[in-house]
Amino acid sequence: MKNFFDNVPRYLEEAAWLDGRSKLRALAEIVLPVARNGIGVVAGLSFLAAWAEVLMMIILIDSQDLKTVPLAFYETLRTQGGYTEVQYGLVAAMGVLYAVPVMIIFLATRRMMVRGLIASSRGL
Amino acid sequence: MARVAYDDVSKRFPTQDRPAVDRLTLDVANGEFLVLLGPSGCGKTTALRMLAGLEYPDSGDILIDGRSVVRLEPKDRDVALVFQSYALYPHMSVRDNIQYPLRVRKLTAAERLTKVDRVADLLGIRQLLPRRPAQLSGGEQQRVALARAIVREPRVFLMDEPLSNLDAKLRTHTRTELKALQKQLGVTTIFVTHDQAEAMTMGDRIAVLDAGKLQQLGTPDNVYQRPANLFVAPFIGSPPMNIVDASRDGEALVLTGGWRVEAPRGIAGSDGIKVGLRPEAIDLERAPASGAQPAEVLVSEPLGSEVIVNVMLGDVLLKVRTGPDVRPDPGTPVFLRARPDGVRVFDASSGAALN
Repeated sequence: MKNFFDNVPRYLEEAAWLDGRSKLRALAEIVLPVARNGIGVVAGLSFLAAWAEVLMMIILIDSQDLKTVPLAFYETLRTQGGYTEVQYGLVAAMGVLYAVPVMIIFLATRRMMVRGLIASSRGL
Repeated sequence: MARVAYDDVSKRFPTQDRPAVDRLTLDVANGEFLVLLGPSGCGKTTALRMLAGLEYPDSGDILIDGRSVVRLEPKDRDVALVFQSYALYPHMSVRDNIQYPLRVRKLTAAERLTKVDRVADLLGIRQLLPRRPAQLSGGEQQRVALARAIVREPRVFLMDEPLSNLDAKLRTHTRTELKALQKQLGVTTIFVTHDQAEAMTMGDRIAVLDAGKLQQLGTPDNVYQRPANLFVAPFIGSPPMNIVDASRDGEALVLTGGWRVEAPRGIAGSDGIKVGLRPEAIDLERAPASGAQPAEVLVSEPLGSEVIVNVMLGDVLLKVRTGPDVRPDPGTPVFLRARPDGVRVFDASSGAALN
């Protein structure tokens, strides 16, 4: 994230100051939009990491109502894995539902993600 | 339009052991085109950035129209800066780039439209308005940056080497245009460059800086004809002024190689002097004549309208500017004569001009 901001040339911000903007508004109107690809990448990857997080959730969550989707997978497989056959149809359906939000987020931020990832590999 | 004054301004960056700008005092008249000229690292950009409010001076004062601006934020100074890299906002169209300062000043959409269109016509960039900066060539970006500075009608234009990213042909063309535009608009302009030809052609006056210090301030003619010291003399002019060690002998100066030239009036001191001769201050003759110094041609460099003849005077190389039809072959003996009004004398130790 810091790299994306570092890659926004300082003179763009200075140009905005000289055009009459305060430092805060120059940040909002010039620096943030120019760094938006980077912000998109970081937002997308952070969401994915949180969405797929299992270990911390097992440790921290004990209320049935609060359990996250990966925990539901875990519960389903654990209770079914002993003596009965695993219902692969159910697991597959859960997999699809699990992927839907990720796909929505990706489609919404796709352009930023692609540009941002390219930029992060070669500089802005 | 405004007057600008630097009053004893100094600035040192913490990582450097000498000041970037050292006690700079400078007045810029209303409507003047002043060029800050110097090699890289001489402090010219720092001086400009202090006026813009992007750097703070350690001491001294900077005034616009008699009012100190050093405590003002950049946004409150009403100066426009054209950056070397143009600093166009990449996420905005050309039109949005140009009208950004107007939007900041809360002009109505109709007012913005009129002003942007007028400036776009002035600079011939109307057809570029819908495009993004990334779709423009270097020259077009330069015009857009200029348009963004002009549209807000600032008190002072600051330009930080705005032509250095253009190719040679476009640079010469833009130089002419920019000078004409500045005269037309009449806005006080401070222009930073390391290119002496730019400084000579564009400036009403030139301020030559080196190592943070103002070396000379004067009109292009003045700086060219009467350089104040041994830094300015070879820095201005192409090819540069010939500088030769010399000593005093009565009414004459004896240059390296035994060349005697008439000493200009009022030169004190006799030892430790250097003589400066512009390439056009030396006449080249093919036949021996009394008072002419024999020398040998090293090589001739024809430039179309003129020829630069390189001549060896003992072990010193002199450059002599001659007409297009004079191009002696290497090894040809020639005879040099210095024009009396073209002889500049400098103190070798302090570097200061003595006449």
